[in-house]
Amino acid sequence: MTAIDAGLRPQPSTSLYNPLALRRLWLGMDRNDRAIAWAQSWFGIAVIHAGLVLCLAAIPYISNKHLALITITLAMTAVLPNRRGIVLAVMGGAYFLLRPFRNSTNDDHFFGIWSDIGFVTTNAFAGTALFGVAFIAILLLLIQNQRRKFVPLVADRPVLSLFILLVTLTGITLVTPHDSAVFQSAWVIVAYLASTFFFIGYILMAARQKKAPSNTTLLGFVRPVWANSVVPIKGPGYFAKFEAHTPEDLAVTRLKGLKLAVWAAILFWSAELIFAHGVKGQLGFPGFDAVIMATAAGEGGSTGFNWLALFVHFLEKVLLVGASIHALVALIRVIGFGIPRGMVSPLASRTISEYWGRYLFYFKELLSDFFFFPTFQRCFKNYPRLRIAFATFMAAFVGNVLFDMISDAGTFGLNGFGDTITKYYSYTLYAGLLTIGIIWSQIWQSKPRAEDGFFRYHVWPRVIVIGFFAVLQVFDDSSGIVPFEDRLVFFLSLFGVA
Amino acid sequence: MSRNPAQLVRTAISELLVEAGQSPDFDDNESLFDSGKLDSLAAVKLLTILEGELGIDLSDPDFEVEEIDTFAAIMALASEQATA
Repeated sequence: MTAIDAGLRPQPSTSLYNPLALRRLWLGMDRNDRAIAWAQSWFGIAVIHAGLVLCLAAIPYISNKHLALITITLAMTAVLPNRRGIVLAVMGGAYFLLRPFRNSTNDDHFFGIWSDIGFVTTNAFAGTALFGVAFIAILLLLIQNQRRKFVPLVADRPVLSLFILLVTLTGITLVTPHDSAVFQSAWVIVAYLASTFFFIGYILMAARQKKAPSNTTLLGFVRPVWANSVVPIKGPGYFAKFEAHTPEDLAVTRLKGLKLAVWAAILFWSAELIFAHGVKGQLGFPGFDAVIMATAAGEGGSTGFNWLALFVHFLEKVLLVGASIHALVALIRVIGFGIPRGMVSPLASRTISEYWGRYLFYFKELLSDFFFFPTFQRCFKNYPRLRIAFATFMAAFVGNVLFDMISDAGTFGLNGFGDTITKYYSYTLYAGLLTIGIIWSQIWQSKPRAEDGFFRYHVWPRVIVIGFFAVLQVFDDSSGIVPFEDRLVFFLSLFGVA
Repeated sequence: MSRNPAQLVRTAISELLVEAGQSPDFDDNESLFDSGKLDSLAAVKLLTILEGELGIDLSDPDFEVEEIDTFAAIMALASEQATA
């Protein structure tokens, strides 16, 4: 481009009355020197934090009590940015001691049996705190074992050792009477371990690193203040790489966090307006579960209607899941860790494996860290394709199903093996189909090229990917609310099979 | 092995970055996988190269995938295993 071209080319408007110019300013603020300087002032810090809390409050994924904890943590990390690790350890510790299970069934059961146990105090909240302190003490021993290798077998295979412990204790809860002391003791440990299993896995992996974080930092990740589910967003070793160490880095990270929080709120309210109020409210379109059950009962609509219901559900879910993960990553960024987004334009993916990485980045990372790479490192070294396929199978199928079962381990003892496992039929089929899709994509699906033409590059690959993941949604469920048989009937109805 | 290890790894990473639609340039200490620039399939390809060309033993219980997150870390790992 010559200087003359540059002079003739229309320059982007910077008028504040131009929505596109405003959008450009907003999106570029983490690269704008004036905005970065403002974000370092006390006023800027206060506005960013208040903006984040408002956005989180506008997205009802986070309970009021959790939001209060988050707000206190944000205030403390804003005032004491150089003591971030201690603040996170203290607030994360409080969160863990007060809400150890993140599961209302386990909460109710623990409160119910606490009066029978009645150790030191009959107050159930004090009981959870007592067990929590004991649990953290044992965790500290495990961390020390990772550093010093007192028990090499456990230090070399910490996650596998934890898993064997969890399976053994879950087995005990399955074969002992509910009112026995053995059941109650085993169940409490299972419930604590199930809610923290993968968080502890990441902590133990970080503890064995050459530059391992301190115990204080590690303890902040047993139940990080941002964790509102049992899916960890990586662990302490990963966060250390993204921590902001200078006021300028922190300002940039916080601005990125605010941008993402606003985007999360926009996504959430777009989904609410379009789907909850518009499609379902004004147009009276039924919910996805209702369509599945009606079809199974022989009262469903046409094949076209079922496809429409499937895509409405799929798009709504993508928006809501996106809003949820963006809100958490935004919070983490404002605290001071500039981690990557948890979802990046999944609908733009051209291959199945690309979608899988873009849709739930941190869940995919969890499966890679705990299942894919350990298998890839050890199995079928002389058979490259089989090696990738088997490691993918271990992650996308075995790991995927095990993740849900581990997180729900307390339920096996409470409801029995048969009743609990029934819930997983649908999710097992989902994981199986997903695994086949990813393996095919990794090994045989050719990546489209721009020279293939508009349709074959921009349109057809995305139709395949979106269609595949939309259809998978039929089985993506481990709640068991809609029976597996009903889901199967609905799936067949999509292809005209009554 | 005909090429020097550093050049081989640098070329492999550049090719993976281009394949992922990224710029082939990278800093020695720049995060490749944790930052989301490269995905796990790219990690697999790189691991295969490290195993085949540099003789890095991935089955070592102390090996963590995080040790290949940067070019500098890969080279440190390669020299560590070479002297072990």
